[in-house]
Amino acid sequence: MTDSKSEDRGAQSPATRRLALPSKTAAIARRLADDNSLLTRMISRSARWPDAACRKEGFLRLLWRAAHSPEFLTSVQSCRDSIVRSAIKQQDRTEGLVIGLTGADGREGSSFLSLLLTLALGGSPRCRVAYLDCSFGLKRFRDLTKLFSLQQNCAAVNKGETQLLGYYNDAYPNVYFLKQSEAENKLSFFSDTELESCMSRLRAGFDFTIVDMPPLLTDSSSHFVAPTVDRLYLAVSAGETRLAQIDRCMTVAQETGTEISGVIVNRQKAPLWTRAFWREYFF
Amino acid sequence: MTLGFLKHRLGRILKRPPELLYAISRHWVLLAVVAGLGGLVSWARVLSEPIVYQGHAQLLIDPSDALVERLAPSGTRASGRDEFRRFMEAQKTVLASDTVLSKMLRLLESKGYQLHASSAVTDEGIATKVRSSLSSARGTLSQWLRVEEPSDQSDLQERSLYRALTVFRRRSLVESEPTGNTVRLTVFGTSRARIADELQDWMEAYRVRVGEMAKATWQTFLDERSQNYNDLVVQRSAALAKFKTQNPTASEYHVDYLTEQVARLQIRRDDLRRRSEFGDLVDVLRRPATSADDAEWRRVARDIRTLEVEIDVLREEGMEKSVKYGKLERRLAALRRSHPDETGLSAGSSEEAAERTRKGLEKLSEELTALLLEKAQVRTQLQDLRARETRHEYAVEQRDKFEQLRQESEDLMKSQNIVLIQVADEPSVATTPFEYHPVRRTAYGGVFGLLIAAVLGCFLELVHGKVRFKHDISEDFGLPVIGVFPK
Repeated sequence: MTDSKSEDRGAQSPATRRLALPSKTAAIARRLADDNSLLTRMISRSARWPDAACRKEGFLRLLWRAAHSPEFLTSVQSCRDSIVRSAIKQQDRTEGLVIGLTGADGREGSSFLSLLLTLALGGSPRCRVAYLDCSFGLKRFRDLTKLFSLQQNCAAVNKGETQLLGYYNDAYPNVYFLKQSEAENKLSFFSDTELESCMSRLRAGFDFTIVDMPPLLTDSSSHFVAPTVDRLYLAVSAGETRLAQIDRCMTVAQETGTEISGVIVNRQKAPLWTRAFWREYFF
Repeated sequence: MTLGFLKHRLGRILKRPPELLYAISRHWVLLAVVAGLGGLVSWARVLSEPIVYQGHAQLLIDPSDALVERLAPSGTRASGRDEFRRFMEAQKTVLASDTVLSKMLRLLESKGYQLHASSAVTDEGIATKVRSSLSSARGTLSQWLRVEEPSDQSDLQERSLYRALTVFRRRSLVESEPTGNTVRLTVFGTSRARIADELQDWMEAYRVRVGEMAKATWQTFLDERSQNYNDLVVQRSAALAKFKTQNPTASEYHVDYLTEQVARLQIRRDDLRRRSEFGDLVDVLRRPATSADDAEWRRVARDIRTLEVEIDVLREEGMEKSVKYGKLERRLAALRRSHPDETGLSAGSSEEAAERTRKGLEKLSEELTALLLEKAQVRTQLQDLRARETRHEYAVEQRDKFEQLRQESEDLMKSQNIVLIQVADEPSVATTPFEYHPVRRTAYGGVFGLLIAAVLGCFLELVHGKVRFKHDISEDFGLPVIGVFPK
């Protein structure tokens, strides 16, 4: 895929073509479209969305909507830049980063955000990025496989008796979607003593490993994962997540020996008047 | 959610315009509903309240009028500004007094207006409207609202009159304008015809009341003055009578009598003196010329007589102890010793006659002196008597004059029943309703509803215990926000 083609594709992207965006937002969307990444593929016409029903409900619906919202893509890039900056700060670090993204009660869209983050981090061909969905949902993985034309790779990470198999697209070999080789309960998976060594292998094999963790307050398996990640980000849903829940998440994180590195606010609603002024107060 | 958290969030909402605007716009449904409700309530109030008209009249009160002047509280001529202001305030008080208003209501009742029962509710609404519009006169109005309740509440008619009076007082206004000597009456009501009648009757009742007050004060004044004059006349009469009793001789007749007596005594004294001077000469002329030397005898006799006269004069003058008197006495005695022949024939008889004459003169002089003293005393008493009579006559004259003035004043009061209070502006009622702005009031209700809704929105936002935007996390928990995704 050459640069000229990407320019053509970017110029014809729905984000820039369908919406009359502000100049700054349009420029960012155009730049994102220029990226040779899965994210670019997702928002381009070449993406093969599984079917109409899939787009209308469930995880893919959100993904589809996010892919066609330039504001969303701008936010993803901002989020990615923050993580990259935090990684750059630690120059003495020789291994990759394991980033855990979790929510308070599981309704914050942390899986969706972690997937977007993975795709955004994979925009750089030199960065090896892995995505680990701790819910191990087969349907979701199947949809992703269809969407991104994934195929199994020889790359695998051992975790005791089981393995995490890597799936990827030939065109984007730096982005891996990890899948459990055998069906295993997630609690038993994360309570395994080999989890730490597995994380070490992931650090050694990938620059960024995005772990879509179970909710911190409602799923106890996240308590096993939290100490093993290098960064723990909390996804909150504006207007839904209670402040008391955040407080409890901080307490739980402290109790597990780690701390929350940052928060990602999802589903931020902005009134209509923010199109004219004070938009930066909300985003 | 602690109190500190609430304070912090309230400060953020109030200090940061985006948060305030967000709090209001987030509850836009509430905003619309409450604003609509406010507008509806205002509209309902506009429909339910009667249309009020305003009527006014103006009275011209001249403080220099003799009868009106006595209505001033100080009772003096209103010359100073403060005094004049007090005078005008007194007129306001009289206008809004229970007496005048009760009289006015009775006049209206006689015209067929049902004031006491059914109009109370309607007038209450009017009063509310009037009170809201007359914010400047609120103090005065509230002062008027403090009405003493009638003592006999069991009297139904009295109670209804009292209620009507209270209602009328709420929807009426009295304002004085000292610069123009006028008092402005304002009445609010639903019926234009009734407002005009009320104003007319109000002025009439005021005129009657002021006339009554003037009469009462004038009559009291006249009675007091009359009593004073009568007391003075009685007092001076008593003093005159007492003086006359104490001094019965103090009269012109007695003075004339004394004058006559004095004149008689003076004539007698003159006669006696004349006789004492020339009576011896007659004796000498009558004496036979047997003496050898008649000329010498005559000379000696003349000297002796001269000495006797001089001695008498000195005695009369009271100079009996003087040296001259002694010398004359000694000389007379020497002449009589040296010429006993010349004086011896008549010595015994002439000396006795001289002695009698001298005694008679002394007695006459004493009587004359006493009479003169009595006359002077009677004259002084007569002067006092005349002064007292003059004062008494003056008091009687003043009383008569005042009685005449009183009679004229009473005749004037009877003929001129009304005090000179002029009507500067005849009662007039505005054709357009007073402060009738339904659209504006509805809009005000809507705006008020918006304000209420804004406050409610802020309150809901305050107690909203969920994440609203990134500042809630970064400021409340100190956690960095690395990204915000739109919904």
